[in-house]
Parts: sequence; C-alpha cells; structure tokens
Amino acid sequence: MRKTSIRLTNPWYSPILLLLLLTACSGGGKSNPAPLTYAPGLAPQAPSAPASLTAAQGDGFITLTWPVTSGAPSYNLYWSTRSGVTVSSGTKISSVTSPQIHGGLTNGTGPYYYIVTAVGSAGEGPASTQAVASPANGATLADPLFTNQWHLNNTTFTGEDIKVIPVWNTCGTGNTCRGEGIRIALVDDGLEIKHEDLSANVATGFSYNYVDNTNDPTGGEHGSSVAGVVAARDLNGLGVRGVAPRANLVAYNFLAASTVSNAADAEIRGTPDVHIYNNSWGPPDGQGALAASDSLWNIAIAYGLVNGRGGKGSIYLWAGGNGAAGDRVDPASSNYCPTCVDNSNYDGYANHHGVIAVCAVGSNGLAAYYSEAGANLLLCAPSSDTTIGITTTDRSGALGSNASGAPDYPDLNYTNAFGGTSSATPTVAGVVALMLQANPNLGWRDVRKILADTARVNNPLDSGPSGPEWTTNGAGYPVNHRYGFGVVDATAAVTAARTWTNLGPELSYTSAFSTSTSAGPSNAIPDNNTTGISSSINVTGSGITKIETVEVTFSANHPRSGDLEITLTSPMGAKSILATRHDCVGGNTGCSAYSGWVFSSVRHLNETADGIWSLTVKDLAPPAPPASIFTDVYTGTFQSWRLKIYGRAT
Amino acid sequence: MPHSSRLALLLLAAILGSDPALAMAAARGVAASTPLTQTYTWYDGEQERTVWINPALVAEFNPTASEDKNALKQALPAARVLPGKNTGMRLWQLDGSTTPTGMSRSLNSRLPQGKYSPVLHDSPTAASRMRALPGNIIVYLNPAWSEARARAWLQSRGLVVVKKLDIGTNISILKTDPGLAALELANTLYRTGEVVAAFPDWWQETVAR
Repeated sequence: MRKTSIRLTNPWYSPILLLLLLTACSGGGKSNPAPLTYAPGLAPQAPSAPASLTAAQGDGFITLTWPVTSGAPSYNLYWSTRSGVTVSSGTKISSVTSPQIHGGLTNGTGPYYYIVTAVGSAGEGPASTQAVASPANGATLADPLFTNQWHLNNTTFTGEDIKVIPVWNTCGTGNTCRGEGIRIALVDDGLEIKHEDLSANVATGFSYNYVDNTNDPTGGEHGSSVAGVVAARDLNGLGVRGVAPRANLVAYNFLAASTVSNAADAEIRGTPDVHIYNNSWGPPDGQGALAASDSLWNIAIAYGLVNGRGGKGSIYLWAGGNGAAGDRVDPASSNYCPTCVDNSNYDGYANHHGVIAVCAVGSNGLAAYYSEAGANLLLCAPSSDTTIGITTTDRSGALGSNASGAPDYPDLNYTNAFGGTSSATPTVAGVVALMLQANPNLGWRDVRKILADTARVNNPLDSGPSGPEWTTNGAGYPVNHRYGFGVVDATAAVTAARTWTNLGPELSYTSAFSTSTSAGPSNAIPDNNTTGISSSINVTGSGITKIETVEVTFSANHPRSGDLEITLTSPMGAKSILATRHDCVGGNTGCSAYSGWVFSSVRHLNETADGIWSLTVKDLAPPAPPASIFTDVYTGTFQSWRLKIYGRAT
Repeated sequence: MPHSSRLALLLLAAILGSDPALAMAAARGVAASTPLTQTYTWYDGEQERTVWINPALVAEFNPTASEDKNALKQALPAARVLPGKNTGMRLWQLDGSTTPTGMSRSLNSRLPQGKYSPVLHDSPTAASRMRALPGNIIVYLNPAWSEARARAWLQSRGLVVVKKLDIGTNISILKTDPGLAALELANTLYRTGEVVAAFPDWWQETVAR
C-alpha cells in the first residue's frame, strides 16, 4: 500500500454531473451519423441500428440517449426488466426521440434494460445494443465518491482507465454484469466485514481468521481497502464502487499469521466455491534479494489450478511488487538503499506460472515509480503515482489509513490514498470476475490468455537505455518488461470472454540441465564485462507450437546474484531479461547466490517452443566508489540451467 | 511495506536522532551492515537452504499478556517490544545479556503455553527476510504409502499429527515445540531418508503491497 501526499479535491459529484459523465463515457452525444442505408437506383431500405444507446439513472426516471441515425425521423424504444430485451419481448414506446425520459419508475427497482430502433420510410431497422440502468435518487443512492475513482473513469488523462463502465452498461445474455455470483477471496491482513460499503457483498460465515480460528477476519486496514477496489457495493448511496460491485467477498487474514501452512491453506480455502484469490502481498520489497516460495505453497497453487472451480482452475492474482525504486523510505536508516532494485522475477510467488502477476501504472498511464519490472508480469492496472492515489474503502472511523480526514476525505470510512501493486491487483481481479460471469467455462489459462490478448498498449513510446521498451515477440505480441502486455481493458476482456473458445490441453516440456557455456570448461563469468557468457539448449519434439509460459531454473556459484544480468533468447529471437544488475540490502552479503532459482517469462506467448534457446549471463558490477558499502570483489562461475516450457499444440 | 509501517520507521528514526545504526537496530535487532554469522540449515525437500540467526531478537507467537506482564519482560526487564502490525506475533529485542536461543528455550520449557522462537534471516544480514519457528513441522511421506502405513510410521516415532492436508497425499502437519526444537526435529526426520520432505512450519515475513 502506498500513500500519496496529494490531497484530492473535494468530491464534485452531483446527479447532474453523474448523468453527464455516464453519457459522455458511453459515447452519448457523439453524433456520428450512420452511412446512408440506400443507394441510388435501389429501393429504400430500413435505417441501420443506432450506433449506441446510453441509459443514465435519474430520480424516479431513466434518461435514454442515442446518436442520430440518417434517414430515421423517429425511433422506437423497448424496455424490460430482464436482460436480452428484444423488439418482441420488450415493452414498446413508439415514436420517441433522443433524449428520452422513461419516467414513473420507483427508485431502487430494476435494473431496466433498453434497446432502440430507428424507423424510416421503409420501416423499422435493427435494434441497438442493450443499455441498462436503475432509477435512483442521486443524492442518496449514487456512490458519492465514484467521480473520484479515476481508475474507473479517468477524465484528466482520458482513456487511462480500465474501461469498465461499458461492461456495466451493456450486460450480456446472463442478466447480470457486475460480478453477481462470483466469489473472490482476499488473502490479506483482514477485512472489516461490517463496513457500510462492503457488507452487502460479504459472504457471511465463509471468511477465516488465522489468529483466533473464527469466521470473522475483521481488522486489516490494507485488506479493507483492497476489498473496496474489487467489490465495494454500487448504487447504495455510500462511498465508492468496486470494479465488480456485486461480486461476493470472503477474506482470509493470512498476513496476521503468515506461516507456511497458513499460506498454503489460504490459497485453497473455499475451493471450489471461491473463483478468484487476490494476493496483494509478498516478501518484503525494496531489498533486491531473492525470496523463494516454499514447496507447500507451490503444491497448494497446483491443487487450486487443477481442482478450483470444478476443475477449471482457481484464478490467482498476485501483486508484482513495489520495489522498483529500492528502499528509499528513510535515508537515515541503514536499510535505505535506492540501488536495491527489485525485479518481480526475484519473488518466488509472483513468478509462479500459475499466477497472474500485476504491475501498476499511474493516472497518466506511465509506469508507477515503485512498480517492479519483470518478464513474469502479465499486465498492469492503474494505481497510485506521485500525484494521486486510489479512492477506496478504509477501516471505519479512525481505525484505518484515513484517521483524521485532511488531507484525506472528511468521511473517515474512505481514503484517497490507497495504491501500489496492492491496488492494481484487485482491479484486475474485478475484471476477471466480470469475465468469469460473462463466461463461466473459462479455464485459468483462458483467463490469462484473454487478459494478454486484450490488454491495451500504454505508453507506446516507452524507451530505456537500450532503446524502445515495447518489442514484438515472435508471435506478434507487443510486450514490455515494465508493462507485460499492457493495461487491463475490461470491455475488451469481457467481450472476448463471451465468445471465447477454450484453449486446448496444456503441454509441458522440460529440458535436461545444460552445463556447457561459451566460456569453455571453466564456465567463468567474466567480471565487469558486457559480453558475458552464453549457453544454449536445443528443444526438439516438444509438440508445443503456442507457448504460454517459460521457466528457467538457474544456478551459478557467483556469491552475489545482484552482479548478474541474465537474458533468455527464444528460437524466434525474442528476449526476456530475467535479472538485472542491482544491489541488495545489507551490503555485499545481501544478494545470495542463484541456487536452483526459477525465473519465469510470459513474453514468449504464442511462439513455438522447438529450436535453440540461449541464456546469456553477464557480470556487470563495476568497481564501487570508495564510500559505497558495496564492493565488487566477487566473481563466479556458471553452473547450470534448464528450460520448462508450458503451452499447447495449436 | 505498508505505509503505516514505513511511517513508524520514520518516526522511530526521528526519535533515535536519525542514527542509522540505532534506527536499524530498533527495526531488526542489529544493524543491517553487521554480518550475521551463526547459520542453520533446513531442507525444503531436496532444496537445502541456509538461514542466519539474529543475535538480538526473539519472536513471541499468539501473544496474550501485555508487554509488562509478559514472561520474557519479567525475565529480562531491559527487553522491549519492537513496533509492528502483525497481530499474531510480536518481536522482542534483547539486551545482549542472553541469546535468543537460550531465552526461547528457557521460556518454552517453563511455560506450557509459551511460544517463543529465535528470529532467523534468509541472508546474512538483519535487513533480509525474517522467519521464525512458532512450532510444528510439515512432513511429506512417500505418496505411494497407504494411509495405514503412513499412520503406522508416524506412530512408531511418536509423532503427533495436528492436521492432515488434503492438497497432497500423505502431507501432514506434525506437532512440535516452538523454537529450534521444530527445526531440529525436521532435520532429523529428513536426514533419515525415510521422508520426502520435513521442514518447519515457518512464520515468514510478508508485507502488504
């Protein structure tokens, strides 16, 4: 969790502004006339469907707006309280024009579903897409802080949000589109289950407290904020709105008793009823050190992937880590180490091939200063940056992060200062909830693939010391070590999920260990040398033509792992930087050697596995300045590496 | 690190006059730049791992008594609780007159409910990730063994099953005392060659992100 020091402006909500906002973000008011529906010499045809339809809540009414369709002097509106309304099933309101008020409704009823058709001289045309809204008194039922939730609707940096509003406004055939029926477990420090803006979504009796072995995990300033990001209740006149605002929440306060057995238990507790496990935690950040996961946790994740959701696999979301800037909190502390830069691949939890590692971008769409890079990162989501935080729920009253109001909200039950990859992760968890609701048959690998396929390329001109950071892999996917495949796009992901054909069976290929290098028998890694040494593995007969994840198990007896830059190159020429030169807290002794360390990379998505893979290892540690606690007196040798490739045949 | 922990560290540094060594010592018992020397080995299956003991910290699990009434405080009045948010555990800084190992053993042997452990690190620096031993070990027996054979093997060695885990075959949590007793039993079992894995049910330092 990251605090920002910037005070947000007071909530500037009002029913009118909300109406305008909803209208604007849904394309309402944009007048893009449809093409003419007839050509010279041909008989007139019915007009085409209105390009869009927007429904906005009002106090006892709903306002419908749509753009003008050429050749259509009037329109017919159809409504129903069931999703999937058609001209046959809906109640017809004839000869209307935009904007149209559907009045006489009772607040809190609905939702009401609408379509509109254009009517011309040749008759009635096809229907628009469906829109949905519920009548509500804006002063009492809207979410007052929604307009400050820029990650849901960014009006300062237009487009730099997760594009979830169109999902809420255009339900599919399942009647619902806000996470109903999807259960999300928050593996965190607790959850205030009676919080006014969360309680309606909490599954009573299904949470767990590892300290007192009860079903009440109340506590947890962090977990209570994570909960609001993913599933704060919508349209209840309170606070904020989650990405999946009708999803079901349970919480396991593992961070209060973080033992090996509890870590494993928390990832499978509630299986198969829990669909998604959100993990906004990890080993300490900003240390530069390798932090392995243990075998029991790995067994638990494997169990969840096989047995979760009736065999379709639990979905594990993982915070990619906040250590990109090293530890800069307290210059007076000997823990202070700006060069102790973490990479998400040094985290043995976040780089597991079965979890979705999430990075963070700020409100401007650029990498958040703390968000770790890593070849294991699948995608990012908006979160805090140096100027603005995430608005979400907080422990009630003075119990949480917002204990006294200024510079936070006067309502102490909410905060504008949440953030970190802790917040980016439940943002993606909410999107996954909407995906699973749209298509419950998605397997865990399908969810990963859809998120990668539909992520939005952000900061397209991103460049680093070696040139552009966005590169195209051998299968044509743009990918970036800081952003994975880009920023989550809820509309694109849910749309893809609705018509998705599940991936074929998972295949895996494991190579033998390779111990030979370009250095000859010594395998010595030349010190302070930009060429380094390399080793290759020739993969044949794997049967994998579409890679999903690659793992590299690596050992070197170099006593300081932070000296080494390690790069994997695929047969198709795509590169994954697995480790970079960095320091570790504690001086020379902090970076322990690579001993069977497992890196992972998602960057070779859809490439073919067969061919020659190479691993390049460089010792880039320069002579240290005299005053530094770090000295480059360490050298070492390459020992071995092995590839494990996950993918499918077609 | 959660923001409030970071703020606590800042405040602590200010209180201590911004002396880096003092600030770090307050947070981790000893300064990060002081190399830790005493090591222990544990085995996560075939993966051998080394941990370094912190000479100044004791972890207390499931603390119930207030700081002043705590048995450790009464045994060592100069000891003090370090700031932290972990509700299931608190860290005590000793004064150098006794070792964490000795203090933990003493308290655990005297107090039936005592759950004290030395603090260990994943690297030879107190700045690195902490872990401690609240008691109990995790054992993987041969998955090909029948349940009866596994039970008989455990009984023959006087081992008590706390919980059998459903996520794998013949994986159990076994009861042990807290502290190094857990590590020693796990290593003894692993070195017999009769188990697939045996390691402590470590408490591991984790942070909200």
